[in-house]
Amino acid sequence: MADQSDRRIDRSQLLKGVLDLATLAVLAEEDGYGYDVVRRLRHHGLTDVAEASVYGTLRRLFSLGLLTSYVVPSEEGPHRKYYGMTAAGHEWLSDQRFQWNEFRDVIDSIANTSIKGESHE
Amino acid sequence: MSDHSDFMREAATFAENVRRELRSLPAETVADLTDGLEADIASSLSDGATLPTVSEYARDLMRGAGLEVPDETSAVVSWRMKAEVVIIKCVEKLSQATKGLAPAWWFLRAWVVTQFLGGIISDTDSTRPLIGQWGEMPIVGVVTLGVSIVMSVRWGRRAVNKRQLLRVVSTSVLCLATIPLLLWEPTQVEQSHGYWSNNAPETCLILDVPSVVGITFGEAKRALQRLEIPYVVFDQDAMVDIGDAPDEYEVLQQDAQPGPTTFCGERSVQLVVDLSQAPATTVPTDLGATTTIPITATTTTVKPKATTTTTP
Repeated sequence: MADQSDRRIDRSQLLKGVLDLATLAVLAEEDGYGYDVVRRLRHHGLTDVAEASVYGTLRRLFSLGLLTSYVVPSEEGPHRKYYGMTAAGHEWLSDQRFQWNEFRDVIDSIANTSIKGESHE
Repeated sequence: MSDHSDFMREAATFAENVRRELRSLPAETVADLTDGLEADIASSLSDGATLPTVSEYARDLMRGAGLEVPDETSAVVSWRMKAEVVIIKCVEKLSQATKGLAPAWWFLRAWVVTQFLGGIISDTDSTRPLIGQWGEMPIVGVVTLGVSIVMSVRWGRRAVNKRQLLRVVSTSVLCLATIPLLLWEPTQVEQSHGYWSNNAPETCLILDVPSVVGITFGEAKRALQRLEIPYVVFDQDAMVDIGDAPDEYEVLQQDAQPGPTTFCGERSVQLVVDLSQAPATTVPTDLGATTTIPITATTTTVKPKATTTTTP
């Protein structure tokens, strides 16, 4: 018999495919620095997101031209690197949202097939 | 509680370690990946977060950035395979270099096996004196060495198959195990004289050797015979066993020394009798304190008239 951990969906694997979308989505609300993005993602429920994965994602999205960055000096210590959306980023996010909704509907449809069958009986 | 400067210090150290972990990447990529990292880590720490290991953090960073993350397992396997290849090459080279020494190795192997078997069979327990070291069974040792050499050489030349080898080994072991049993015979020890020490080995006898130095050989002989202690006699030069000596000569030395002495096997008391001096007469008191009176002390002078003179 499978234990509790076996029953859980591997969220880290799911997150891999949608972290770009999630990161862009939170930055679309407001510019933010690395840990700020992490904090906002966790606030939305992605509690198990790895900080370093988000920082890497931010660097990659920046190199793809989807994000812009600027440095804000800090009196208390090292500077903070803020990220904001570019026009290309907004466009990309819009496209990704559409794809995600489409994908989610398909998965919802598949995953809920048995529930519909049970209700018909 | 830690203040902000503590977090900053810890974050700086951690970020530096992450950069070190990423050293396989181009410097520009590392700089890009870790730019502003200290501030983010410090914020995380001030939120009470626990940092993962540096290695894990660096891998997450690379994975997030879409860089190829080296598989740790495959890296270890690769390293191990390289090490194995190096070791195998070394062994092969060593084997080729020592190929000419093969016969020496065969003999050495046989000798080691012989010593090993001798060590196993060897037993210093004196209750089994014949099941002892090869030193006590030199013939068995020589036979074992011979068999080992033959087997080692044949094995070295691959001239023996496994079944033959097994048969030779089992037969040899059986023979070696039988020989000591055939040779073994319990040693009989008489208990009619002396006394047994509780701690003494079973085949050895502890006897109270009397002091016989200074008394005549006849007295010494009788004392030792009374206790059934074997003895050998040497002249004053202590070079030759003279078998016996006139009773009236004085004993100069003895070995073993007086007192309780352990006698194992053929051991006996050695007496040195001074045949170069005039014989002595002895007035025994007791064995422990014998008084010797030289004969010269009671010699009667012969008058000149009793002397016969011969003229040519």
